[in-house]
Amino acid sequence: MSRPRPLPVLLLALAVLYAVLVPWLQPLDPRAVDLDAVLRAPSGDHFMGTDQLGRDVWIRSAQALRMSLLVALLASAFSTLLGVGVGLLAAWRGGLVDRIAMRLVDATNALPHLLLAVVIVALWRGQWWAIVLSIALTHWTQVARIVRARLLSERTSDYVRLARASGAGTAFIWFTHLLPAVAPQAAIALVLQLPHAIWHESSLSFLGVGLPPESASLGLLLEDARGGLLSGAWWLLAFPAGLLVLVSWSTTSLIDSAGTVRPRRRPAPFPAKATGSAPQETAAEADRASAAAIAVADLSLWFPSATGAGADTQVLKSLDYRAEPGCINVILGSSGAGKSLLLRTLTGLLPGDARFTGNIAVNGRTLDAAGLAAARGTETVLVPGSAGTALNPVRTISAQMRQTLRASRRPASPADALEALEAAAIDESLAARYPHELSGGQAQRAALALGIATGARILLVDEPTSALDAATTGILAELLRAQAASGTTVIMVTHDLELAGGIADHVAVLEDGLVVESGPAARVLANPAHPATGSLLGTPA
Amino acid sequence: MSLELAGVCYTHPGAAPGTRPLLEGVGLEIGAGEVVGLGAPSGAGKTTLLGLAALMVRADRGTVSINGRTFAPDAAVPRRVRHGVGVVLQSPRAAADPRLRLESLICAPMSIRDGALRPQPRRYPERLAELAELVNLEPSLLRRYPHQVSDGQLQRAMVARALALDPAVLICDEPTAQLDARNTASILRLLADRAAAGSAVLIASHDGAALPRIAHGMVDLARINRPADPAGRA
Repeated sequence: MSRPRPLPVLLLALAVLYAVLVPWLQPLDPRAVDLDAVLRAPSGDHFMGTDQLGRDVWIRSAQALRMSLLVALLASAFSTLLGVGVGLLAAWRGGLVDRIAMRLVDATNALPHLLLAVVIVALWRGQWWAIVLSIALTHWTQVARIVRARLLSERTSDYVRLARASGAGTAFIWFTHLLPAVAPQAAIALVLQLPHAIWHESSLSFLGVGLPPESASLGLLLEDARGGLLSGAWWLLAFPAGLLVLVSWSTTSLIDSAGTVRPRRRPAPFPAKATGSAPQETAAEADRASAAAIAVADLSLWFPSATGAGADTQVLKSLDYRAEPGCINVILGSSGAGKSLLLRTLTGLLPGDARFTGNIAVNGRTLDAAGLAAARGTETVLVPGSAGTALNPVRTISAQMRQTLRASRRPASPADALEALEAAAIDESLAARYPHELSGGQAQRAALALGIATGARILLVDEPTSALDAATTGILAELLRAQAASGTTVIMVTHDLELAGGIADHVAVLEDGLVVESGPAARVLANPAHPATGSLLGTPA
Repeated sequence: MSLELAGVCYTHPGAAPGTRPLLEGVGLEIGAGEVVGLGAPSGAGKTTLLGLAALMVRADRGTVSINGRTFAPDAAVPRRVRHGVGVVLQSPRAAADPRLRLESLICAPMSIRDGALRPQPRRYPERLAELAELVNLEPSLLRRYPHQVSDGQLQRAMVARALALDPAVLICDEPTAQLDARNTASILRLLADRAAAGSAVLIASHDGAALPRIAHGMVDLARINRPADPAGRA
């Protein structure tokens, strides 16, 4: 798990400490007026100066922040609770309940939030709980929608179907699969609403319909500052506004890190044209790697240990690898040897918690992780093994092909898309389908066609034939050979020895995170030098 | 201990009216102790047929019999019957909840049987170790999440899950697609052993070489997929 960034956490903690401790250590009656010390600029006595009534801005800002945080926290907690409740109910009961709940969401969204809030607050003038209520009642709809949509998609997932097939009841499915899926969404929604609620409360108070004027909230302080500003009292505005921005920024930054706690799904393989910064290059390294399409030297890859404690798990161990240009380079190895991870590393698609060291050169340029990701889609492209989950589920194959063609600046009419799909034996009727309407083998073929259509000259293919019958495997082998013949470098991970023997130019064998043998296919497959290769080639018992 | 499909018809929901059904009058019989391999070109409906056999997909017509109990498309299936059906799906990535550790994935059927609300790996340490050894998974991998293991390792965990309750009927969709030759052989041997212990095993696979070696029969879906009553159709 990645830790949240330290700076926002520190700043937020300091702000909360300030809001809690200062009013407690230096109590100040909000009605106490010191007309001798009106509008003093920041000085030793008054760290942040004083306001029109001589009240210390440092203490008053703390009181204001405390009040604003309290109102915002209650409001976002209440609205998250309401949203999660409505979303759960709608997804669980379905039918009429779902329709009523969703129309309620639409109706609430149709009303201007501030207007509705003003009405509620006007009914109970100056009551802090009315402000909480007014914010919560206008902001629960987003959460309800997200929770409902998430639940509906989780419910049709393969793992829920599998649990049902094993006889799991509703309770098991909810507690094991559905609720854990929405819990992070609810947590993120809660934090996301905090800064928004602070601003909402400030707006209401600034408009004069919020808290009573003698109490302190950030909005009230800003309203006070309006008058002071004309007489040059900048500190009246600067300190509360600074606090407002600081707290909003640090809570929002918390979400950024919370959102990347753990990669939930594998990243999509066909990104739109990457727009990264130009990767750096050193002449010496470029020279050394120039002959190979991809040259890997001393590559090590670690994952944090599963339990969170103890040493990291090393998956690749000082691996050296070369992919010859314009050839079909096959990588063999037992499962778990690190083959797929090597392909993911080369295309900058590693999970967020993995880290690697070593030198990777693509077309002679040494690239770092960001550079590898930037090269993906233009220079390199990865066609993943489980293509069914990698295709965009909400667009037809033809539409995805057109998008890919457009991204590589080529003609992208439906006819062009069809032509690009034809080589992979995807005909017109298949191209018009959505990924879930394709079989595993058809999806795999479509994914390969999409990968080729990016125009990238280095094609990395993970287990392309695992879901294919013999006839389609033949089609794919032809396709890959034609690609290599036209100068594209193909790097293919496979378990299919027959396929490897048929089309490979070069073979590398991966065993336990190391390349133990590599060379021309004919030599390696006929006379394996390493015991691991022999064991792979040996006929299964 | 047997699996039998009779006169099963299936059309994709939402298919245009008049579309030819994907499956028409499919019948299939697998006795106890038998391994049957199902082959067909991609797109022929293998995965759908397996879903129907595992009572995961509702047929338009036809019946599925498991251990002599026959179920019509709308019939309620008792939990006990479901506990006796082991399923391995085609893509282990999609079939494994990314938020559960491998040990939880494997012991889920046991927790489901015992009426727990969540998988409880700690309640079945011996069985878990036994299953892991059976599918050749290192014990240290059990504490990992799906994204921390390879496709092959994950598929082996999903096979272990399917075997957890010693199912009478075992239905596998491309169980060895992600595996190397060594693991393919050991998984297929495992499935053959399961059949020897009295289960009915149905395996869909493209693997032309290894599967026929353990299967008692190979069935071509194209051959059994035909209208039950061709004359009755206009």
